[in-house]
Amino acid sequence: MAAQTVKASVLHGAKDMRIEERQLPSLAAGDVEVAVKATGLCGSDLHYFHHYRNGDILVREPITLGHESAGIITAVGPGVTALKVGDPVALEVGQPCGQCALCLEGRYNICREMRFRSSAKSYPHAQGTLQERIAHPAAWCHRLPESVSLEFGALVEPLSVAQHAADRAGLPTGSTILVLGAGAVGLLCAAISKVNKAKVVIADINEDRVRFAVEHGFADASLVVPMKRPETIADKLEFAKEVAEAVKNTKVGGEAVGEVTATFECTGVESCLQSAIYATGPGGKIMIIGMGNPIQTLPISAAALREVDLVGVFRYANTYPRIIELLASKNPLLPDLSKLITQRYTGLENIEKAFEMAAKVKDDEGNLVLKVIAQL
Amino acid sequence: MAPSATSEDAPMQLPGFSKPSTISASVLHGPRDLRLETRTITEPGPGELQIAVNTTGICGSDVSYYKKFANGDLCACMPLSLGHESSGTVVSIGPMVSGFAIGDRVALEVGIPCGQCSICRKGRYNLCKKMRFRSSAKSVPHFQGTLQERINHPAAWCYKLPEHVSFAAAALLEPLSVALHAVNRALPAPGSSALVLGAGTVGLLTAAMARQSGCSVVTITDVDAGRVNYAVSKGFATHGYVVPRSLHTSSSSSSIFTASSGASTPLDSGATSPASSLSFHGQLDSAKLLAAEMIALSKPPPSLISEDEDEGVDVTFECTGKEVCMHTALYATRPGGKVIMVGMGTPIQTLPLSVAHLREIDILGIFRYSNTYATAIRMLCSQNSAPGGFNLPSLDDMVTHRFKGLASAKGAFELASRTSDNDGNLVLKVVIET
Repeated sequence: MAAQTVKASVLHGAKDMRIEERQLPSLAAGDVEVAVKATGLCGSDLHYFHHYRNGDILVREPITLGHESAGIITAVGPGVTALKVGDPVALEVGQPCGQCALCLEGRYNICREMRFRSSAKSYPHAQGTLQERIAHPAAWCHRLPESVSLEFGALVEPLSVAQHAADRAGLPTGSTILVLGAGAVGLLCAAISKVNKAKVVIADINEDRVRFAVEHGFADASLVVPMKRPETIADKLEFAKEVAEAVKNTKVGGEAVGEVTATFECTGVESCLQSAIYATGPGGKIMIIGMGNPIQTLPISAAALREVDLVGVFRYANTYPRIIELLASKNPLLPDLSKLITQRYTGLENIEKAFEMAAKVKDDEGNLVLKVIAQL
Repeated sequence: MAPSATSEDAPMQLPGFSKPSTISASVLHGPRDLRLETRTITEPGPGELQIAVNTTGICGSDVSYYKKFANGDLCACMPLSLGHESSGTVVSIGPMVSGFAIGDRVALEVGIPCGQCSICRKGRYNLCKKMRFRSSAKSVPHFQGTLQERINHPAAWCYKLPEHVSFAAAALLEPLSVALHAVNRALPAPGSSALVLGAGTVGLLTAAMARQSGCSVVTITDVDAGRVNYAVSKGFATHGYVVPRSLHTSSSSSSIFTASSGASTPLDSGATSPASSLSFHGQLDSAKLLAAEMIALSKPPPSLISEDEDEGVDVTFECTGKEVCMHTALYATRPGGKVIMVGMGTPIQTLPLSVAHLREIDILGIFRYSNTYATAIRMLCSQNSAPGGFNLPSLDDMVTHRFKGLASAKGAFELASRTSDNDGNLVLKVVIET
């Protein structure tokens, strides 16, 4: 039987990460014990690491980060029959209450009582996955088929964000989609869009990222957005219109795309949302995925009077099984996601280095930093 | 004389019918520069009817053109007849029209889309880029509005009226269409709760349509107590909330209240600050409190719901266009709900967008309407026919002021921009009858 103490990476303050021992609880009915093997790092993890907060959410007690994980079952609790020791699983780390109206209608991602590992929103904090082993409900562990690696298992979480955005957008195949932001989330939104047979234009201030996107089939065309910082609202909207024009003039298959069917806004930057409003065609949608300043000034009439809807996307619900199936199916429309995993660090003691790398745009060899994976 | 085979553009005119006639028209030449003029009108062309306009309602965009010769960013660049909420009588029928007879009473859908672009083909013709909408300065030359004695209009966009539907009610089919379109986009499930901000004509009709579509709770709010009372007493809404005026004046001509620190209740008028003197975060807090008040009105008793039931309505229809109301709308809507922006509002707004994002509250816009007139007429036919079920309140009663003759148009526009008349009576819908 496995030892009941495990080592964990614990954040005590901004950049104050320590390796500590924790007691693993004995397994409750329905729980399994998972040895966490691969964990991707995401923007919110980085925010907590650098600032000990994420926007308005303050950390109130030492917290383990990490929520994009896959691992191997090392023990099963009473009543667990669907999973067995040795099974590789992708972890869906948000536990909703299961009883409120939202849970019951399937929108558990916005359950008010959601406890999401590595988020300081609920208290006591639901500890993240950057630990040797965790106890987790079997119902929220999704078995990975042999053909899907544990690293890809870790990608299921951010892919789920992209899938949930696509679900909420409900676009017909063959749409033209603008993805703003070519970080991991933007690239994955582009990837899912390609699977849905859309024409994808990806935009970012970083030329290398957008070039990467097109080179590796995540997008059909790219746009480098100039790094302007207009000050007045009039100048900001003027700049946003310029960016939108540039989007409309971008060519896919020799033809300018014009106004897009939908925009997946993955940056959280106000000027990007402004541009999205101008670039999206009448009757279209803007999927709000990136988190930025909670308060934004927008040319709202330009959206409302053209029936361009602003659709919020918060995490995901009911996506893991489909994403795992997508990964297993080797769908030819899906770009090679292994290209997204750009740096790997092994061992708890190197997690801090992983965090430092994840904050960079390029590593020491000049490679892009897109998704950093911490392996245990 | 047979039409020439090579000139397909030439209208098919039967001999003797090509004489134009003169009509009078109300024409706006500049801000508040409304003139009664004569115009010539040809016989109706192929597919057209000539309509003697009977009743025209005045709406906010008409008033805006009247006052500023502009509507939002749109500036008029040539003389423009206003009016787009109209009904009338068929007085002449153009070639290749069937289904109409002289004397038929019709409602007019005044927006003519191209019918061929991809968005028209998908049915969302209200968004057609080539839309020509009477009385709007959007297209050039401007498509003249209905405040004319007679107009030629495509028969396809004229709807015959049942006998019991008055010209006034028929004119109101236009704003009713906006309300219907808003509910069509929102698609509230039966038994939903709705909040409507603004109790002008659009707010009232939207509330009614929300009830019609099965919302069991419809709370309407406004700064004007008269409008809120009207809404609830006539059955447009099930609940009403009067917003303390102090919270909504941005140009504070009303008395200034001093802010008390800590928890101030909005209903206690001595303890709140006008919106303008609060910081932006103060405004947001104020909006949150307001939203809580509005939701509390229609909540079931505590014994019936569990404590962690989601707070907020399923759908909020924002019918004022004001930024502070958008704030309230976002705070008042439950996670997973929708905020519908009906009508033209403040074009640039600073919003607590994370509220919408993190709670997946979708923000949907509404621009005019599509595929609503036939349904709206059918609704008027079943008005008062069912003993149970929701009864659409009388549209005729919404017409509070009537002006006779195009020459009276100026008075109509002046009154339409007010919420009460000189006798203190509610101004809801002003119409011009010709």
